[in-house]
Amino acid sequence: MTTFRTYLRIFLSHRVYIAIYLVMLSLVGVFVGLSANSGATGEYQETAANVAVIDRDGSELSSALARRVLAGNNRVEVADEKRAIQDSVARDRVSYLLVIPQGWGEGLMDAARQGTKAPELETYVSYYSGMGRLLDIEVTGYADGLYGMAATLGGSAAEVVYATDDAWEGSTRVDMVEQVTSPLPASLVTAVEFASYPIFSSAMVCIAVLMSSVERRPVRYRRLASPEPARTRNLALLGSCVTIGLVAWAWTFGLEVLVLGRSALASSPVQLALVGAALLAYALVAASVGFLAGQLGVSENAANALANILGMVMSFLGGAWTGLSLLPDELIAVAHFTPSYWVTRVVEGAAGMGRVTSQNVMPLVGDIGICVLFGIATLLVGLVLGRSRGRSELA
Amino acid sequence: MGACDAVVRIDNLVKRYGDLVAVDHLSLSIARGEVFGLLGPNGSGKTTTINCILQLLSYDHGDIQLFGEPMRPTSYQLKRRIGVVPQEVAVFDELTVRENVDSFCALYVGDRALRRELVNDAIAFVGLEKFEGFRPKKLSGGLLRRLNIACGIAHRPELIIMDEPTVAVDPQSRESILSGIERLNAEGATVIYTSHYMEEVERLCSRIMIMDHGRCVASGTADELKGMIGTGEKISVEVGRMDEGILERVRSLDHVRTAETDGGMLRVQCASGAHNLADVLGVLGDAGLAYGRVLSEPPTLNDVFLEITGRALRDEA
Repeated sequence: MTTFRTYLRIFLSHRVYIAIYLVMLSLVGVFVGLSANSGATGEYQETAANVAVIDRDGSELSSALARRVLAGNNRVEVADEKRAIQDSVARDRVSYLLVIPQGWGEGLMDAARQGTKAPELETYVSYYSGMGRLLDIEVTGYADGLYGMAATLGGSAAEVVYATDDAWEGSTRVDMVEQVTSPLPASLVTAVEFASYPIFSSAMVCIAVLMSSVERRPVRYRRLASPEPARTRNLALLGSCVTIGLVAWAWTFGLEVLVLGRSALASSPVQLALVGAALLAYALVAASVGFLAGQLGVSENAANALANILGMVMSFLGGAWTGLSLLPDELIAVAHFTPSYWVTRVVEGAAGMGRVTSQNVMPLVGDIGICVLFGIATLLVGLVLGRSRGRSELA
Repeated sequence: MGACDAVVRIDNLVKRYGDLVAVDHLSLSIARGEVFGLLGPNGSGKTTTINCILQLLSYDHGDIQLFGEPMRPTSYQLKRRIGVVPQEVAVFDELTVRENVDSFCALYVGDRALRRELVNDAIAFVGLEKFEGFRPKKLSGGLLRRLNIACGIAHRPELIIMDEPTVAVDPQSRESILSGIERLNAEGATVIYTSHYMEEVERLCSRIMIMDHGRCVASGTADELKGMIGTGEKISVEVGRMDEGILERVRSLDHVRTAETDGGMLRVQCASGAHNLADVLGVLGDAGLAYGRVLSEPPTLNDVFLEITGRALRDEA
């Protein structure tokens, strides 16, 4: 017990690491979570873009297309000159500029009748925002609609426009769809996914630095010569590693629940417990990696570098920086070999768990088990290394 | 010396590293209350012997007994009676002086109240009271060495193993450490002391063993060791100017190994002999040479060490 206390004293003496890796990074996680939730409202609000239309055609179809573009947006007059067109987009006076070439309407009707390719539109999109790109999609869709109506219904241009507008109005109605209530706040989910980084880096650095101190050759010599049994010594070290992992977990998860997830304590305790258990498993993995680094005798600087690099890679592959669904398949395949991936699966699974049933819970428990296996495997490698090092050190 | 008086008894110890024999059939016995000097060039087997005594190394053959009981890796009750002061400073950089002494004392003494008293005594013993709250990085080399000693002796061991405890310290700190060891010994501790500083060994040690190539090559008190070698005293005589003929007559004396004049001083290195000084002064007197100050220095432990182990440089093993 006295050895364990000595180890904890050494751990607590590294206040800078605790402050940077645990306190500061976990606070960053909380802020990331808060920002993920900001701006979300339950109301739909249309946005208006600055748009310009240069209609060189003047046909029934081109007029309909121009009306479609201008509807709900702010019309900006742009002269039909090459320089004026370029300036308006480059200076962000317009988000979207549509030039309808002469003969476009007639060309489209002919193409539809003959089943050939529709004539092109000339469009300019500002790179300052995504609104122009969205408008372009709408315009393309409407033009395709005109083409489709002309091809299927035939008739005059006015009839094609009427039919298209009718169909389009029906399809562009905005409805507010109530989202199925997530059992965990989105801000908490975001923060918890980020938590893999502070937990991993703080636990790994603190344990590696602790071990480099207690396993320093002269100190080790003095301790080996003492009457302290090897079992007591090893248990104290293991206990310290687990304690550091627990501290990293308790601080990070506790802070996030306190700030972002208090409501879930009462409304979704099972989901919250699953997330907590997943993070706890991950903290123990981090502790075992720190233990392994300590057994490898890495220096303080190397421990810092390793903790940051490994922590970031793990968090990235776990989907903390970029959602797993946005990662390429190859990276997802690689991510399966990291514990953070399984933690994220649990977090996302718990966040989407509407009803708590054993069918929903057990797969997530399995994922936590896989994460624990990573920790056990790393710990065993560390123990084997430590044993072989202990044999060879004085021999 | 009876077996029951021996704090340390080693019989026929052999330790091999592959083909290298680090300790070669070594036997020794250290009585209670002795300060036992273990000398030898680098790689002579001193540290290996100490590591075997502490059971930090397995050995190929032999028997080690401490306090009359066989020493085993799990002889925790015996280990509790030993204090170790390693050559390198073995303390935690993150802990204060007091916390360091307490944490190492705690490996031996479980009772907190008793330990507090022992830690206070140890800190006072090495004179670190004013530095209790300091971390090791804030201490000078001499203070660090004293902390190193405090960590090794706080639990009041009966046997203290000190491996070059005065390396790289200033003369004041060295004097403080040496007088501290004398006090520990006066209080009843048996000490095994290794050092390359012969004057320290001569001052402290009641018995000395010189090891080389894993074997004991000489053992005894300092005077006994000096008596074992062929080197006698160094004689210095203030002679002013001196003829070459007189110098040749000095050189021709039976026990004179070398004789030189240097700045008006005649310096003569003798082999051991009963009347060396009288013989040299006799030659000078017969030649009618007036002489001033006369110094006769008996052989030192350093002379003994060099004569026994040779003057060739040793590589670190």
